[in-house]
Amino acid sequence: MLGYVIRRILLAVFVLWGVSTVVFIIVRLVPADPALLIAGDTATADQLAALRNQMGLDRPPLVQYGSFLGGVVTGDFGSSYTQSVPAMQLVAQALPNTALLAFLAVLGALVVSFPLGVVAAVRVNRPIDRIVTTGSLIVQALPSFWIGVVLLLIFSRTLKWLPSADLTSAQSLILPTTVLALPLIALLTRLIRSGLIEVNGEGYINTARAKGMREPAILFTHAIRNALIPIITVVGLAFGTLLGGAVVTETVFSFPGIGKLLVSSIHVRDYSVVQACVIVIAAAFVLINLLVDLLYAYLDPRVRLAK
Amino acid sequence: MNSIREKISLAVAATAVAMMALTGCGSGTASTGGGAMLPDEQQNLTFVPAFAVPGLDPTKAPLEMGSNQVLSNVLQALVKLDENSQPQPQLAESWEWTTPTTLTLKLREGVTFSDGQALSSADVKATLERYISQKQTLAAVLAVIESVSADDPTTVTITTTQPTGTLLGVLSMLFIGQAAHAQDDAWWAKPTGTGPFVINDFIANDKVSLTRNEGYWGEKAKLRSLTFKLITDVNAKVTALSNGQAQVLNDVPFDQVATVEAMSNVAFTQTEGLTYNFLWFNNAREPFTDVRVRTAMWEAVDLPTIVESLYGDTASVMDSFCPTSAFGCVAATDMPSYDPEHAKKLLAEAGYAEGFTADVIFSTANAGYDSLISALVSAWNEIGVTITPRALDGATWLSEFSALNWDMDVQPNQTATGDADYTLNRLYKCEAKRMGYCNPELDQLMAQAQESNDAQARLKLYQQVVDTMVKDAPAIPLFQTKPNVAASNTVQGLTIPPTEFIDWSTVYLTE
Repeated sequence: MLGYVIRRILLAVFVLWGVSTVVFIIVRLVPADPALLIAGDTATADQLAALRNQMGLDRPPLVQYGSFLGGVVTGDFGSSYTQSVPAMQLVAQALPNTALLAFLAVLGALVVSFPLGVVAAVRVNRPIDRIVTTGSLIVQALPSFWIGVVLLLIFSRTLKWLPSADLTSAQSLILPTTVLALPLIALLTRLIRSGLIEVNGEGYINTARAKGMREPAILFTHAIRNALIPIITVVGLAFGTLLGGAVVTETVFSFPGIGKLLVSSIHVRDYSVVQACVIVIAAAFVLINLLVDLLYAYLDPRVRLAK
Repeated sequence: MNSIREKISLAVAATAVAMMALTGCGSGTASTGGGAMLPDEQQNLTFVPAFAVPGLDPTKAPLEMGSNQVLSNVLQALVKLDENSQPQPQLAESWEWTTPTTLTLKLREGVTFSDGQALSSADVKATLERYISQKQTLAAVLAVIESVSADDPTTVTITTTQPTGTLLGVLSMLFIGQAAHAQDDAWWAKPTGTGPFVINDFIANDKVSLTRNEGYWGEKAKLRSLTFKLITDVNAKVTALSNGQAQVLNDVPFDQVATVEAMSNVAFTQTEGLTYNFLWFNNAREPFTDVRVRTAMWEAVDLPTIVESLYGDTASVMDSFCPTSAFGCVAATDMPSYDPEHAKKLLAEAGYAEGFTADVIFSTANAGYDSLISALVSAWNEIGVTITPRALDGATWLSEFSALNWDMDVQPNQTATGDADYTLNRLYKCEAKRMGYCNPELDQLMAQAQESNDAQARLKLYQQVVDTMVKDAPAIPLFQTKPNVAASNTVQGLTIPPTEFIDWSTVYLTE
C-alpha cells in the first residue's frame, strides 16, 4: 500500500508541474500586453517600458519561468497587476466561497439521488423507474446557464423568495447550489440505479438470497455497499470539477467565487491571478483525485494489487 | 471584509426595505413617492453600477468610471462640474486667474477629512504632485502644470506653462488626499477623504461598501450605508431591483427598459450624458487617406434609423464630434446626412467606383456592438464597399488599437472634463497621432480655444473647429448615450449628473 501511495503522490506532483508550465505558456501566448492595459492607450513608449520592467515582463521568458516555478513551490504567485495585493490573497478570499458551494451541491445531490436511484433499481422497468430515468436524462441535458436564468426568473424575480445575486446570507446559496446540484443529481441517480441492477445478478447476492436473507437486508448490507464504489470516483471528480467549473453559475448569480475571479482576471490579463487561480484549482482537483484513488484502493483491494 | 453577522443584518435590512417597497405606493416616477423617511438604521442602500471598480487609487487610474463613481462620494476635488459642465466651488471656495498662467485658489475653511484632520493647502499640493508623478491617463492634460505652491494654509497657486482655460475642468477630476500619505500606495488603495462617505470594505470588481462620514464638514449624508455591488448578468441585475436586493441600478440596457418600466414600484429616468460612440478612419491608410472616401462612408449610413432601431430613445444621433452636454461641443453647421447615391458618386470620383475592402475593429466588451457593426457593414455593402468586422476581446482590441493596426475602429468615449478641449484637442491634434489625421489649421484653432478664458470666444472657436472637422471627416460621431437609472420608488433625492458620478449624500429611503 505504501508503494502505491508514494507512486500516486509523485504522479500528482508531476501533473501539477505540467499544469503550471502549460498555464505559464498559455497566458503569454494570448495576444495583448498587460502593461498597455494598465497604462491605457495614452501611455508613451517610455511609460510602457518602465511598467513592463516593474512587472518583470521584459525579462527573458526562461528567467520569468524560473521565478514563476519558485513562486509556485512557495505559494507566492506575485501581486495582482490591477489590485496591488498578493494574487494568493484574492484566491484565498474567493476559494472558500466556491468550496462551500461545491460541497453543498455534492451533498445535496447525494441526498436526493440516493433514494431516487434505489427506488428506480428496486422497481426496475416499472412506471416509477421510467419516470426517474427519463427525468434524469432531461435534467442532465439542460445547460446550467439556462437553468440558472430560469430559476432566477421564477424564484427571485416572480416569487421574490430568494436573492438573485451576491453572498449575503445562507439564502444566497440556495439558487446557485441547486443549479450546480441538478445535473449531478441526474448523473448519480442513473449511476446508483445501474450499479444496483448490475450487482443484483452477482453470485454473492444469489447466495444471500439462497440463505433466506430478506430483500431489504440484501439491498442494504450487500448490494448498496458494492454498488457504491464507482460512485466515490464520480463524486470526487464532480467536487473537483465544481471547484473550477462553476464559472457560469457564479457569473449568473454574481457569486464571489474563484470561477468569477478567474474570468475577470483573464479579461484584464492579470497574469499572476490567472496563474494562481488555475494552479490552485488544478491542485485541488489533483488532491481530490489522489484521495479518491487512495480511498478506492482501501475499499477495493483489487485496485492496489493490480498496480 | 464584512463579518457574516454584518452581512446577514444587511440582508435583513435590505429585505425589510424590499417588503416596504412592495407594499408602498407605486406611481412610476422618480419625484413622487412621498412616504415617510425610514428610520436611520434602515437607511441602507444597494446600488448596481454599470462599471466595475478595479481599484480605489484615483491617481493610478484617474479615468476609471466605476472607481470615480465611488470615489466622488469619499474624496472631493477643488471644484465640481454642475449640470452645465461649469465648475462650481467644492474644496476651493473661490479662484482667480491672477495672470494668464497663474491660477490662485482659496480653500474652504473648516473642511476636515473623515479621520478628523483639517484640510490644508499642503494636502492639495502633495496630491496634485502625486497625480502628475504617476504619469497615468491624465498625463497629457496635466502636462501644462508647471508648479503647485501652498502659499498659506488656505491658498494654493497653480502655474501653467501656457494659458489654459480648461484647467478648472481638469481640476474637477483630481480627488484630494492627505499630504502625509502622498507617497503611500497602501493608503491610496483605500483612501481617506473629505467627502460624505467613508470606505468600509472593498472587493475589487465585485463590491464596495461605504458608510456615512459622521464627522462630515458639510450637510451629513442621509444614508447610513451605501453598497456598490456589481452584477454583470442582465437578468440578475433587473431581478435584484425587482426583489429589493438592490434599490437603484445604473445602465439598464435598451432591451430591458420595457421590463423595468413595467415594474409598479420602480421609476426609470434617463438624462443627457458625456458618453458617446465614434467611428475612426485610419486616415493614414489607403483608401481612407482620401477625404472623399471618408465622407462617402459617412453618407452611406442612415444613422437616425440605425440608432433608433438599435437603441430606441436610450441614445441619440449626434450633431457634433462630442456630446452636446459638454461645453464647446457645438452643433456643426452642415453635418453630412444619409445619401447613398452621393456616396457612390464620391467613391467613383476618388477612383473606387468598384468599391474596396477594409476592416473594422471593435471590442466585444461593449454590449450590443455586434448589431451596430452589422448594421454599418450592410450599409457600406450597399455602396459596394466590403468591410470585414474584427470582434476582439477587450485586451486584444486595446493592443491592436494602440498599434494602429486597423482600417476603421468603433468605440465608446467620454468627454470626462465636460469640455470639448478634452476630447477634440486630446484626440484630433496632429501630435496625438491617434488615427493618422493631421490638420495644422485645426491644431491652431484648438490651441487658441484651450488658452482662452473667455467662454464666448471659446464657443466661436469651437464652431470653427467642428465645422473644419466635418469637412475633413476624420471620424464619424455615431451616437451619444443617455445615462439611465432605475430606482425603487422608496428612493428619494436622486439625480444623475452628466458625468454619471451620482452624489449619494442627498439620497434617502422612504417607506
